[in-house]
Amino acid sequence: MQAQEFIEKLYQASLAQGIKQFQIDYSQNEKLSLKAMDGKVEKRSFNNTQHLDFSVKEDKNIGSFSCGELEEKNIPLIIKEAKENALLMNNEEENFFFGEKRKYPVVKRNTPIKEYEALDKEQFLLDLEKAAYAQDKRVKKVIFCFMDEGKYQGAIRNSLGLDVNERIAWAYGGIYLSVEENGIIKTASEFVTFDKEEDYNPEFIAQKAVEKALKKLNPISIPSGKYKIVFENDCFAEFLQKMQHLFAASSVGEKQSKLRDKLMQKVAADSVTLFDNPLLENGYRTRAFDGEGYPSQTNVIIKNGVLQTLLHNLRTAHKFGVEPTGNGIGSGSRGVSFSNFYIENGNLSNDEILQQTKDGIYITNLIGTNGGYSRVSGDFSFGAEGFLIKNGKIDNALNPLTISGNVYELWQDIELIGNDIKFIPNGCGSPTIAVKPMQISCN
Amino acid sequence: MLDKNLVAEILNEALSTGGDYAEIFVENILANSLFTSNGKIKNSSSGLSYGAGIRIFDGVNFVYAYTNLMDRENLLKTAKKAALGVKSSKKDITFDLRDLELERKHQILKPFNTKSKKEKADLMLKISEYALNASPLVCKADANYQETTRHTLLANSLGVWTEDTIARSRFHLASIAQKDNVIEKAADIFGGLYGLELFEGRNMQEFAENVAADSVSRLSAEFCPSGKMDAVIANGMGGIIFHEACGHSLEATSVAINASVMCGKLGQQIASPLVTAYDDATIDHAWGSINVDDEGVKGQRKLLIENGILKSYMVDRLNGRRMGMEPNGCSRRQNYTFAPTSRMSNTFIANGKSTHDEIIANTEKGIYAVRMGGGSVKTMTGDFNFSVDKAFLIEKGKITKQVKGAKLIGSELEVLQNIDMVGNNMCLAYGTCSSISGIVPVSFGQPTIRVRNITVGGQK
Repeated sequence: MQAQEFIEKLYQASLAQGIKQFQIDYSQNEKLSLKAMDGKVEKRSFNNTQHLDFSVKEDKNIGSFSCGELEEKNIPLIIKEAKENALLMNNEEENFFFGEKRKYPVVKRNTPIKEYEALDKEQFLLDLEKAAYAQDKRVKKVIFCFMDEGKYQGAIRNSLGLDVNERIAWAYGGIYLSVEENGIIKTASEFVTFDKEEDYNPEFIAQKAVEKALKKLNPISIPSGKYKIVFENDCFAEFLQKMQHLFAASSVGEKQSKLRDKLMQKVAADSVTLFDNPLLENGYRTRAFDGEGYPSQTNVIIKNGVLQTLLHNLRTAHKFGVEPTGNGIGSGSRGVSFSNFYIENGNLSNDEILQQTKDGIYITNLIGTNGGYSRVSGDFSFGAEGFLIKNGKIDNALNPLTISGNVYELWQDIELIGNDIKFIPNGCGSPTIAVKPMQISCN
Repeated sequence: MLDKNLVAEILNEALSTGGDYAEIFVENILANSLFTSNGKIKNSSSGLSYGAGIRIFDGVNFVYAYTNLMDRENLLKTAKKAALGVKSSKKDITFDLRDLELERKHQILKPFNTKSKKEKADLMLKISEYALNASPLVCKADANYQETTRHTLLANSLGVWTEDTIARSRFHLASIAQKDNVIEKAADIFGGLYGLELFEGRNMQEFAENVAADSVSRLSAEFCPSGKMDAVIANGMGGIIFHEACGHSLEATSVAINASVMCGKLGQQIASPLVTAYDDATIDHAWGSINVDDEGVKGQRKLLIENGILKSYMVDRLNGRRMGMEPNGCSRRQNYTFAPTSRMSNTFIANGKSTHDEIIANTEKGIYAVRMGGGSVKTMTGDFNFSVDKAFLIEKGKITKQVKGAKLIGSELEVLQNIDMVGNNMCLAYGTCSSISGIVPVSFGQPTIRVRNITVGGQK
């Protein structure tokens, strides 16, 4: 059955059953993935799928049913389950659908540039692999080169009159390789999103990946102790994603944020300004509306170290008595979603930060961040890769590290902020960040 | 699910451009989940997923296509489109789809629909209540229950036709304790191939009170010291160290493409002679068990390491071709949106001779890691890390104060050699594992073990 026809039938069936408030979230996905190794395209994968979430509001609660089989025979089950789920819950706080008539911003999301259409993707991957082996004889193995592209269409329609939709197209590709010297093996990866000309140059991408891996060779150990830390820009962007929950109003009730009582107080160093900005031009997470259909707006979360707002969905905004910020997830979820989430650039170059730090550790990668972090206390202990900073310059690579601290202190301990913001595809972005000494141990 | 004639038609279409093997995987999942917190039913959700994935081999290259538009026309169109990814000469392949004989273990006693959502939620609230009543410092108890019924069909051009239904349920309880401005959380989980009998025979009050006590004791725990020390790792969940530090490197996923430190080491001494380890997909009702894998090979018990000597890898059909080995029933995927590959099931270090108490008493100074958090490994280099959620210091052969925030890192070949005591109290624990074919349920397991001189990261 065609999706539009199915949605219409579900809509009419819900009305016929006398359901007053309901919402349909529909999405359609197409994706192509390629993977090459040993001079051949080893994997070709593609798909075409559709998905629907049906939500019903009863009293204060929204219940949902998620359906991956859009067949008419399922309509009674979909409605029955969503309704039953809504009736079972007994939340004190009210949940909402959005139905006000609002003007939506016109946005420009990151998307591959026009060169992408002419790209021979399979050849590109083979060229990339070849280019990596040609870089240096210490390249042990190009483990794989990959490419993914996708198209997404989403629509939200509800009984309050909301009817919005969006289309997204994206692509990324990259390489993962290993190098070897004196029996020591190190790996590195590099990826691109085909949104600028240099992303179409296999030599350039291969060179970056190989350089990254070679730098890690001949690592040394250092004694455990406290060291001044400089986080590479994309590494801190990864870290930001771990810490996003601190700024979600939905975390407060979950005891996963201690920032509720800190509004208009200092929660970070003076130099820190933090945004969640869905309107950012060419951002990876740029959007005209959030998962609840609420229009997007730019949110300054921290300005000069002072907490300005938490991020809200319709439910938390009502609970806290504030306006929503356009950070809902939708489909019955109680949580908050993030868009382009980034620390604003400072004035210093990466070199200047290293010079001012003089001696310390340069962290390029955090590992094992799926554990070792308590969202309630903010304590963390992660694996890490990095380099010694000696006399203001990057020196030897270091054996695997652990880095430990507390995220609430980390925000206060930021000392220097670079002018080299870099975004990663999850929408997080950061310049180079230097912080006060942290506890390190080294294998 | 699908009719045999249609399936045969799809497979023939998939082979039309010269593929030498084709399969279709059809999957239907019904899932329910409930979340309660401090006396309130915060969330109840459910869902239905139904879709198919078609895979074609051309030597060691493959095409994977999936869809959930399940009408005949679209399935044939998807097979045809997938076949376009193979550019070879058509092979003469004929097959007759026959049912694979399968021992259907893990039958459930109490189907999920024998209790209402309300009755299940009430049970969760009751269990949470035990945690809340355990201490005035416990300010929040969150319970999470999930049940899924997964029905699968796998048919391939070798003539295999196999259908299976597996029910899984799990229960997670988290307790948050607060004293002044210090907040700490502890959690525990159990699950298996069970219906609603999951909860039977368990002392839920004791379970909840233990979780609560863990969250309270963390409030006064000091930060863990950093540096090299001996680690005694508790039984059950402690097995994540073997899962990360060795298991992943024995999956054909990385061995076949020469991206594992275990490549070419069959028959070699890779671990201390005290280490014997299995991956066993056949354990009754264990969380990681399967009757048949996601490419139509029966689940098996595999001896991975015997007295420190590497005996076998976990091999899936595609990577088996690269390695010249037969698949051994470990090919798994999260759902139909992933192509399957070799994965672990219930992976554990077998019992040794020492007792838990002997191991502690023989340790002069070290860390006792009781409950693990997550971990990861780079199979290419063997560097692994994992976090410890509950740990104590060992001083002069005695367990002393509790510490928090510990992370263990090391390289796998080193750590496997450095296991110098293995206990006799093996048990399995619930786990999930993430890799290129998605997140799959697994068990970790081991007796208490001691690892000499491992690097511990902490805040002190």
